[in-house]
Amino acid sequence: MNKDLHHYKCGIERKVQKTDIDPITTQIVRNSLNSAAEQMKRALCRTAMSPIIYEVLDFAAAIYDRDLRMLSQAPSLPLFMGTLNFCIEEAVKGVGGEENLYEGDIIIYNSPYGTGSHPQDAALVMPVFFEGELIAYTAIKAHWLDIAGKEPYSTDTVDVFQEGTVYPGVKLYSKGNLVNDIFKMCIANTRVPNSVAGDINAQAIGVKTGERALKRVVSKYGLKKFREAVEEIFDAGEKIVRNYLKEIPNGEYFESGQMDNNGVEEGLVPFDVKVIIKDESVVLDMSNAPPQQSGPINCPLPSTVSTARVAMSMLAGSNEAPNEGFFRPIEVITKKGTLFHPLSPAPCFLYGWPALQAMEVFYRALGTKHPEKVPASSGGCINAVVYWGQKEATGEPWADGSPHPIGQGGSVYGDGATCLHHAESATRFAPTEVWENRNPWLVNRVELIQDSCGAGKNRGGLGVNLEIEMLEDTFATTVCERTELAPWGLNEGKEGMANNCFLINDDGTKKSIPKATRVLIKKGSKVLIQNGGGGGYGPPEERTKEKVLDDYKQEYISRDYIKKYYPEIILND
Amino acid sequence: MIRVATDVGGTFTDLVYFEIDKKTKKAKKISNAKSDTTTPNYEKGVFKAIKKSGISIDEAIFFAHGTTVIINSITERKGSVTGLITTKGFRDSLEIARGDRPDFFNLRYKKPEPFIPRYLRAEVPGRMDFLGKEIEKLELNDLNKIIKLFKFHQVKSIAICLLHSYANPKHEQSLAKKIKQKWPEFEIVTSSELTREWREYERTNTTALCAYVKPIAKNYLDNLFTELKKYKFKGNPYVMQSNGGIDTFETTKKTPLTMIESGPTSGVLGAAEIGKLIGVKDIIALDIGGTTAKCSLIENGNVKINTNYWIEKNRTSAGYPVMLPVVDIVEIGNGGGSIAWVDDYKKLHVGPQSAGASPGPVSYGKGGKSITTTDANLFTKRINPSFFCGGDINADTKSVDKHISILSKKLNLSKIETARGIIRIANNNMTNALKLISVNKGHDPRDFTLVAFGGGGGMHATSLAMELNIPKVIIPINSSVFSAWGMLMSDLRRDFILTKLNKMNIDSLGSINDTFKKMESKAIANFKKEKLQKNVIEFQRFASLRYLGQDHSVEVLLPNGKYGKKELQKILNSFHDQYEKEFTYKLDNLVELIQFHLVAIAKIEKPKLEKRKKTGKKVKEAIKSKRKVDFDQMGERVSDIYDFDKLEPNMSFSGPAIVEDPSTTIVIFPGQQCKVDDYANLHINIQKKK
Repeated sequence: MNKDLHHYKCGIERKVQKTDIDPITTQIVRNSLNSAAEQMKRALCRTAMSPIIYEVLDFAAAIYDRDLRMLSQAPSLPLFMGTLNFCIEEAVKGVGGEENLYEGDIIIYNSPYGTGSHPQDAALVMPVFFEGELIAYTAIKAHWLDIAGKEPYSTDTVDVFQEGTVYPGVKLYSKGNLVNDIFKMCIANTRVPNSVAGDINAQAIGVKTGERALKRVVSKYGLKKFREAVEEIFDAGEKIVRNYLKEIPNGEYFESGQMDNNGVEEGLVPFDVKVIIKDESVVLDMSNAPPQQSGPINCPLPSTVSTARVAMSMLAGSNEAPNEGFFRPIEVITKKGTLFHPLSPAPCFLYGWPALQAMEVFYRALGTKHPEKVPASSGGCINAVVYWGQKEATGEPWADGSPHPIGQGGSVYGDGATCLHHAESATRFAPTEVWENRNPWLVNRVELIQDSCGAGKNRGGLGVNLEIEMLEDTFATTVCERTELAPWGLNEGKEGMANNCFLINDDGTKKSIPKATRVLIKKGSKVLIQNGGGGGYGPPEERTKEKVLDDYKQEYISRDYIKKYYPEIILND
Repeated sequence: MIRVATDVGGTFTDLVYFEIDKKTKKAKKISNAKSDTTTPNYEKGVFKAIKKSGISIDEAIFFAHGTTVIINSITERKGSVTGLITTKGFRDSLEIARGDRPDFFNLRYKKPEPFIPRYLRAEVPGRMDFLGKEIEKLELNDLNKIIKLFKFHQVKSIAICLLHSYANPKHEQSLAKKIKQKWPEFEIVTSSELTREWREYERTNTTALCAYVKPIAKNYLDNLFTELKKYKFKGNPYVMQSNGGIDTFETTKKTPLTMIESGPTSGVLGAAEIGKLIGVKDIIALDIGGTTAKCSLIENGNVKINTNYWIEKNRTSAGYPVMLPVVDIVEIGNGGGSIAWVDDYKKLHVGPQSAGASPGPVSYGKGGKSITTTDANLFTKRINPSFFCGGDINADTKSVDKHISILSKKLNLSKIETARGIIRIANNNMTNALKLISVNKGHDPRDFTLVAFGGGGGMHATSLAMELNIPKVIIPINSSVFSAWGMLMSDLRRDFILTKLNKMNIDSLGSINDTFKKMESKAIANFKKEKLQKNVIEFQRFASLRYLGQDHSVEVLLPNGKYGKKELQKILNSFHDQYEKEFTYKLDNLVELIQFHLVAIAKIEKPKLEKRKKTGKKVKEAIKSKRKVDFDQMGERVSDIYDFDKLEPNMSFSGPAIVEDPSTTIVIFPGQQCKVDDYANLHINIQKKK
């Protein structure tokens, strides 16, 4: 084994070897665990102050056992879900280990190399004791609006210290009491103290809710029965992913991906991925990646591992909520000091972008030989834009921002969906009527982009154009990836339209600003976010004439598009 | 004198009537009749039921009608071809929707398909801003072209929804007027006549659905009305609405989507009415039917209404929004006919698939092969095998035994453990639904009474109450005709909603007072036009309030009349309290009013119920037999079987027991106390869990 390489087994094995529990109790324990995580989520959303939590659902809430195996998680931000075991491990280390944990403690932890995220994503971790014994943890990692980095949102940080305040694992609650000194530090280190104070409170209520709900489950069935049920639940989860992998022949699959640039320097940042399938298990080898970058696109290990966990859970696609068992067949290989395993003080503000890229490159690698097992590329980015300014009439500051939906890739199962989030599953697109009430904007159009879908037997989903006219001077930070590499087709399917983001001045001149920090947009100028379409699946000539004509009737595709991709179809009118 | 309610369901058309004593004005007798639903000429089924009941409709002083016709034509996609006209740049709002994927890890997720396809969605230039100020003139040069396209595609109905029309509906109105003048052959629905609430996707979809069902609904209500007149019905007939009130045929025909949830709503209303009758104010209403279980929370006697209602929304689909006032109901696919199945990973599930009416549960002996909740209840002898469906059907216990055995082998369990397991999983599913309306919204179930009805209500209510620590269960008398009873107890109700942002301070009082006053005069004018001014009219005011800068809001009940400084403070206080209850904290921030909500109620005279007579019989005389019943963890116990019809006020007894009438089975666990009230409703006290 190469010593520079880091091997990570994504799922932990059985702890109780012999179990004797009936399937009904197991099923109800499973439902109760999922319900406990769901209650954490609801408590958090109900209590949170910021729309980024209760509307965008930029968080993950989950419950782990003492061995850091994921018992259950609430549907929220998938990419966060797979990082929480790291957060708990580091948080506990931060306070000096298990022996320093007491009932009622809540630890705050946000070091990027342990959370996998930028410092804004802070984890709250609560140990759960049952009859005096440490049995589990509840944890929520959530996005704080601001944690005192150099800007509210940046694409050009050069080290982690520009990105925000770091809390290396300190107790926010000790034996049930708020540690005021720590709380004061949190509030002092943010541009929006009220929001952050409210959201910390919500996060604490969330982990406490999970603690109570879990204790109820354990006390109902007793620790022994509970633990036996858990092993059965994990085993069933493991089988779901193995059943998917079973159908893919053993072999090595290669693919490469790329980032448009690293945020501070020009030039593509390519990376390679190797997927090894062996006997119902999978190794995702990310070690052939460029050295850690001077700009903030470095993706710390926990998020790299999470990418693998989420990608496999999605591919196995069982309608079932993932748990530790799902992760057992997965191993991740990284190399320290590279894009997917950066070391301090590498900047990682945009860690999520390479993570999302990597996920689709895994699919693509498998697709090289087994296209029926994966979808074609989606639009490939969340195209996040953050805006802020001061209201002309009152001088009060305002800020808003949002990720955007894109077209999804076609697959053997059918056309890709139109305008949908890929991995940010829960995020809801905001209504124009609410936006115009809240911000000095005139939204000119939110419309599907004709011909943005990749052609194929099953075409990609369409992308969407969003054009906003600024009624007052505004600042914006934009993060749109994959403007260079168009969404790829699969199995002879064609490419979809790539993302972009434009600044349109009032004289009509247009400038591309896909990744930019603190751009001034003058009153009367417009921002146009071009959210890409999905790639197509299968040869276009296999698409039925009926479907092509319907796409034409719906104005999803133009006459020219038909001429180009479906030349055998002649339009009469 | 009689009062009649009819309810057209998917399979059956129900009729319930009260005979009213002319002198005492009390309801002497409640009777019912059932006939098959006659698709697509539904009025025929209604009159079949009338005929079967033997009543003559010219004696009726009141006729209320509930129907699943609207929801069925939507779920079966049998509405009319519909076109949409919307603001330039926004025709895709209906298709983009909110871009979320409720099935988080499903890469093959399919978005719900819009009810109006893209080629029938047209745009017109013209813009209002969020304050309702015109910033661009409405431009109708292309209207001829649009109508030509619509006609080419045989569009029958047009939905009009323009941006910010909640703030100013003028553009929508002039567009509708122009079409009506030139092309009267189209049905038209504008978003502003449905609601004045913001959020364009939700409002557009609501308008689209309403236009989609309008031609069918109009035709249906017209036919029913003609028939009623033919049979010399003299009164004004009413339709049950989703907001918990009834309304006239005329008004309903204009915006028929308002009757979308008329069935489930009347059941919740019935629970609230029972509560009023016997002095119980905080209720969780639970209706367990054949395919679904529905629940709703009633606080302080008030049925909760909201406008955040979605159809076809579940764990795997985002569904479609209906932005209309609908009684807040959570519905899950778990009823008596729900099928128990084992997945590839040996996990037992119950529902959401249902055995339906045909072949139905295995025990019906109609060839059903899938074990259902009903079959499990029969296997545990909670349901009486020799009094199955009131003795109408011979329970096919042999087949039940055979098919439970197949399931049990898959699970590696004994047959009785399998049957118990099915009931436990079904209860677990329903518990989660009940948590959604209670615990998850800041309500402690210990403060509520569970009122359970529908065919399966009594079978599961006591277990659910134990699980949730609900101290008391009430099973109402006549629980199978409970929904229709709710309908007979309704008032005429209209909800007016208006999004209009106002800071809650002294400076805005003028605008707030003015807005409510205008809404009230509009409502009165509205009633006058339909000659309803003779009824007693009551107003209820609500407002959605939030902390400035936040999105969360709560709807607060406001006093009537003019507001000054004192009232403002009172309103703010109740906002802070209610907000804290719902969201666990309160702030010092400025408060903002987002939405006005006026409820206008025209009171309708209602009968009083008579109490059940006492004959002095002993409770023992109501026992018809004994049998062994399986109480899950409490084991098999010999239980007294009571005849519901023989129970009289003040009787009391304790479990293990079963109460039966031809359509209901009520399971009372060992140790639970049951008491009969004056109206013969059963009150079951649940032992507190250790």
